Amino acid sequence: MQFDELAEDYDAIINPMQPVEQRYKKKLPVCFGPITDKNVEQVKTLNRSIFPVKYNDKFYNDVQNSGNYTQLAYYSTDILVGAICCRVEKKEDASRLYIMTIGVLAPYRCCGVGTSLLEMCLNLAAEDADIDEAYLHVQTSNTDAINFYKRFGFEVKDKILNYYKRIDPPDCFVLSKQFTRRSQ
Amino acid sequence: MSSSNTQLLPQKEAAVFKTIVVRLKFYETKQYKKGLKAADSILKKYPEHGETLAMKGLTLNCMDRKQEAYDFVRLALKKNMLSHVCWHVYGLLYRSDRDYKEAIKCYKQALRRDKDNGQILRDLCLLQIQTRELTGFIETRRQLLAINPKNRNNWVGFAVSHHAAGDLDMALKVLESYEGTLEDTSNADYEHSEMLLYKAQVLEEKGELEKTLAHLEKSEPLIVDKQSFREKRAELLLKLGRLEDAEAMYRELLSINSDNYQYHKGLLEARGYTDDVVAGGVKQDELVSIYRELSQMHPKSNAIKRIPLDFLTGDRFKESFSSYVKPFLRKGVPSLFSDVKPLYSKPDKVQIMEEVMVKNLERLRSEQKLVGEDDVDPPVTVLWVLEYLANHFDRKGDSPRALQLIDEALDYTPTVIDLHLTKARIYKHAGDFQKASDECEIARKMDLADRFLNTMSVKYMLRADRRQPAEGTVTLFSKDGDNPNNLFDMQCMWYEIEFGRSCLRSRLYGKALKKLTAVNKHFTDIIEDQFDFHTYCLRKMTLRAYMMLLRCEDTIYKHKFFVRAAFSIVQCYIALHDNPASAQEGEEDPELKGLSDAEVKKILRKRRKAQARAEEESADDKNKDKGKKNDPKGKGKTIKQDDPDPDGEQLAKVEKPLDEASRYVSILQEHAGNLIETHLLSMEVYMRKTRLLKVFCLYILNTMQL
Repeated sequence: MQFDELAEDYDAIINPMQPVEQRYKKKLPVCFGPITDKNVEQVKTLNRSIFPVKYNDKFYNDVQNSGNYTQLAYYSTDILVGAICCRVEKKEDASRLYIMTIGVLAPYRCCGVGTSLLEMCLNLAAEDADIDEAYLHVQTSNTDAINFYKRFGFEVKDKILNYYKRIDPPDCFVLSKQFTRRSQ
Repeated sequence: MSSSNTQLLPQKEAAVFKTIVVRLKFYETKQYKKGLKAADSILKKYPEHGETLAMKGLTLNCMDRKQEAYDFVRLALKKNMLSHVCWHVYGLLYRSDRDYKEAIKCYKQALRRDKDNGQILRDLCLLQIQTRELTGFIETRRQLLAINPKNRNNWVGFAVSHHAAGDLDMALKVLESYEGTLEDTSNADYEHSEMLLYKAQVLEEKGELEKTLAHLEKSEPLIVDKQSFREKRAELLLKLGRLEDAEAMYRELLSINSDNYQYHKGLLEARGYTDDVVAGGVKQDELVSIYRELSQMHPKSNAIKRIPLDFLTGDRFKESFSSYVKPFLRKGVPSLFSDVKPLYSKPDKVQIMEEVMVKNLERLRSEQKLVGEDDVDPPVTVLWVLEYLANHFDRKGDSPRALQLIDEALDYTPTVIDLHLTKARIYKHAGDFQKASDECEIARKMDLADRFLNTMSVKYMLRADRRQPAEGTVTLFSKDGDNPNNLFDMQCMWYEIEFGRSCLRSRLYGKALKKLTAVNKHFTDIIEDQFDFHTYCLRKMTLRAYMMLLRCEDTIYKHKFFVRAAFSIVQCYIALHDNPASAQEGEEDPELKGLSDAEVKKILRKRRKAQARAEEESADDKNKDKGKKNDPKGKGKTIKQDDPDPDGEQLAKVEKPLDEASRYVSILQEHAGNLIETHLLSMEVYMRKTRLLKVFCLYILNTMQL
């Protein structure tokens, strides 16, 4: 399965559109909400505007079935500014959490929204006994993104050559974060 | 054997009869089958017994066996013309069929046999007030009072009857006599309090303001609705010119609710500032000082911040407007524009508002700060400035600029649903209903759980003559799913009017009439619905509200829903008169206009497929419904008959469309004579009836009045 669309996800957090010194520097207060069959179109609109690719229906089905791991970030209670989209991959003994996209609308970046979304998601995973790992793909050249994920305890686990079709370099790292269980 | 003898029952049967009638045991508990059984058990021995026959008829009526019911009651009357019970039951039958005139006749017959029967008198007076037969109503009320003068309801009922007939003096006298009968009036119960406030209303309507005020002030300790008391007192003081007292009263009211615009208006009038002064921009200094003081007392009130925008001009206005909008822009309140819309009647203010907002936009773009602020604003502020300006230019008729601004906002944050609605509205104002509907549909799809968005989208679809998708969408939020009757049952008039108008545009007169005349039916129902309030309001003593209801019902045809529907109905009938063949004519499809044959075929093929699919689905649904019918809840429900004329084909085949049109025109003339369209449509109708002289006279007369 190809995930070349995912090459763009971290860009969403990092590339500010305006010079940094003119921007709103405070942490943007956001609240979170789930994705449902009622508001999925809003998430599609969000992703269309952030990522240059159109995700297919399977993507949004997976996302809706991911429990609370897919979270939407709202500013001033009803403006959707960002989202983390995940998929839960069930294995025999335990499940893995695959982070498909994290995206924040350009004007609202650099205000901690992406961080809040990822924290929220990882905290939930840490409390979930079924999930033992969270992982994602990132383009090998994207140091900023790799550093961003490392802040949350992700480690480079693997390198896949020619993962992306249309971008250069075409290789990606697999970043992974293991959850250790207290009970074990 | 004389007839009176056959009408007497022996003790045992009389006891059974009582269970049917006097205690109304089976009737009231809706145990109709048992009631029938009991009646039959008497009739077995005494088949001639009129009153039992009548009660059997009444019971059958409740079981929806109308024809049998009438047969039995008429038979009962044949057997016993002298029984008030038989006549009463006959009246009840007519009443249940809403034939009030016949019902009144029956009740009067019943009263001739038993003139002091309270139950019949009470039933009769309900019908009389319902049909506004006021002379008879007063008389019946008088009799009720004479029979039982100890009952408070009978006193106020008598007073209300005079009030309704416009005889304020008598109404007042009755109320005063009633007060005279009261021994202990120290208890402040709600009913007594309402009676006192009602008396104040009668006095005020008589124009005796001094007396009204005195009455109110004297009654104050017994009035429990303190807010009504304060409001009325303030109003009276103002009318009587006791301005200082009025001001104090309005200040007290403002301390209770500082956002009530009526109180503000009262306060300003008490200070000598009428609406003209406020709107004219004179005496600004005094007004400013009043409002500065008020804002210190009520810092949270929005009205106190908003009202100065009405009277300030020039630089003061600019400064005030500039600071007024800031919290709205930051919080993201899309209703900001409609809040300040009234100011758009003043061209100089429009100019200033534009200046302020454009400057805000420029500064936000360059430094992300609002004008006059040092702190960087959250990234969302610019969005609402763009939204405001889009509305602003839309209001000024500059659609291209409005669209440009709203598109910029949508680029900035495409997930805000309100922006899509604003864009749809801009298209609508520019006359592009198709694009407006597209945009509104985008908004709807972004939140499928939002009924408001659903409703808006349906409305826009109908404006764009997209009736099929509209029908599918509107039912998403109605209870019974795709059952179109549901919207009729909910009296969903905006939908019926928009749908009807759309059909009228597409020259589908039958369908149009079907939906539009439904609106007329709703108004008949609304008038009908007041029936229960005649008893309820008197019992609960909500007399002021009751008088409001009566007056509202008397002028209900003024309502814009009725007027709109009636205008379109008349247009339908005129079109049917001009071109009778159009009743059968098929749809002239706007989508197919100006397309090549091949394209038309393609579209038609698509539609057939879609229709086949829809039919399949609805068949599935029907099967599901069948499953549902077995559930216990559905048991008691009567199954509604299918509409014999679902598409209004029969309605369009009316023989004399102009007569139908005239019916509506005369209602419009009575209730909507202030609208020029009423007279233009009347003219169209009369011209076709070749009553040229009448046309001419009416036209001249009415246009002169307007």
